[in-house]
Amino acid sequence: MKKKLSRKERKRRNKNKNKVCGWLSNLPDDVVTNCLVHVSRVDLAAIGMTSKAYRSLTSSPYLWNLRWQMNRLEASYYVCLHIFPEPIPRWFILHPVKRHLKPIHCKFPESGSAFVVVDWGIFIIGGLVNGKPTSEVVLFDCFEHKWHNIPPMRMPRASASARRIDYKIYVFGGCGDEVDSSNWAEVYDLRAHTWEFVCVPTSTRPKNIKQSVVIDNKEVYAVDEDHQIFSFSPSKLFASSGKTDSKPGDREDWCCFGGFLFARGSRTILWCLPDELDWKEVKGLEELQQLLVGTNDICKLSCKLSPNKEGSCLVIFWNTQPQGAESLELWSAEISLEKIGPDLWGKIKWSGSVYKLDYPLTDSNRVKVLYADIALT
Amino acid sequence: MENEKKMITLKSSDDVTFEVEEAVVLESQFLSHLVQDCPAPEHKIKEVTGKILSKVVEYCEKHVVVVVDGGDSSSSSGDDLKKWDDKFIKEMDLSTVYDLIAAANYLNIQALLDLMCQRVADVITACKDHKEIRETLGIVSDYTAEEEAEVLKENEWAFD
Repeated sequence: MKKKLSRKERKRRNKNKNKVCGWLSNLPDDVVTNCLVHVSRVDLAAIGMTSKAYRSLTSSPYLWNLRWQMNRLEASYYVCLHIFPEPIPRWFILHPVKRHLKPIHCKFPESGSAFVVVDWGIFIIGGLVNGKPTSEVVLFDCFEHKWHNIPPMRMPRASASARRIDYKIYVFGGCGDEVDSSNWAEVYDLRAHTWEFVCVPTSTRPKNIKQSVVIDNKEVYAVDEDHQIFSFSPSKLFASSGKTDSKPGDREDWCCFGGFLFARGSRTILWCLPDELDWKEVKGLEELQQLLVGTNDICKLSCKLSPNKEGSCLVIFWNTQPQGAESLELWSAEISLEKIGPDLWGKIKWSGSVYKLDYPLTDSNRVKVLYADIALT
Repeated sequence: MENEKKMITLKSSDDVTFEVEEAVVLESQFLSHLVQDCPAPEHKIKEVTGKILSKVVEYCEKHVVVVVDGGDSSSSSGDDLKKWDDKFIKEMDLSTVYDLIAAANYLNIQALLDLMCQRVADVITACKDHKEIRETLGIVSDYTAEEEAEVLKENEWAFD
């Protein structure tokens, strides 16, 4: 049984003051909604623009729940970019047909927020506001494209690690000098809508988490600044695994997909089994190496887990200048994977430019991908 | 030996009658209850016209599963049925589609309702923008110019 955060719990279904007009006006709202279940996300946006009553129907939690029940939810890809030298990051959605990043309107801390996606929404946790850590948390509703305020954390945090297990979001660290074992971690209950501190003894906790990833929805793997591996589970809290992530080289953006751990090296994609940490390169990506010739390093790796498993893949981003020095583009590639013998082989399913800027790539002008993941809409 | 089939007469709002087998009637939750609770030979359905009821009967007759002796099913196979459904909805004009949705909803025939809703979704999908959707579905916008500009801005991401 798939766990889902019900949209109904948060918001009761609006009673429509406006009745839909036109051909469908003599039908009850739930029958009209039945028609809308079969319509794509992009077309729902178009229907919402026809009249107020349709807008209310196309963004109703009832429609989302019905789409979920009838296996009609789409994997919409949301991306947060910091386009330097702009002062604050911006949000985008990947247009499913055009495959371009389209801006969506939002408010946002300057930097240092942690992100957790839960079905239809992205929690944006803490970060810097006017240069100071904030305890604020907002939930971006990807179905309605609206922001909801969530109760603030008990501590202000920036650059914290946040991961979800079942109906709880655990947030670790990011609280600067005022930290002690009682306030270093806290947990948000998605059903009770409350924050509580989680007491983690100083001796057992990681020193400044560098990477963290949820394995099998049961435990969080965390790597600290000394490359020590810790595992966290709601029952046992933190325990050192006794292992060290010791191979030389960069490994950023850890993610777990199909039972394997993935990380991005500077120009390669690495994988290992979570228990072994014996990192190897994903094979068969010579085509990717050609795409990366003369460009910057890969700047983001993420897993795109589709509701139907066949569509799942890895997604990478990089900055490049295919039109010459006067323009900067963000490129992306989707990579499917296959295990053959002892190796994982990757295949580029799609690659191309997803965002264009009309200024050159310099040290200060570049696009940083802060977040990229799917939400179900 | 096949048992003699029980026949039931349905009468539309404009007094068109249809004589159908009981199994056909059972495709509709509403009519199933009606014939159980009230064992009269003829049932008037005041909410549905003869034109629409004939479509409902046509659909239900095609979809009814009749198991004859020997366990062989005389209903159409899945593929054939799908082809038949496609033809059934394609030949229909939109106003019939809407009336049939209302009838399927009233008579509680889920499969027919789903089929018709899919047709409406296909019609919407075929429209190139919200203006064409308005035109096709006969929707009159109740947005003010400012509201419409705001909504357009919010949904800009969905355009090409």
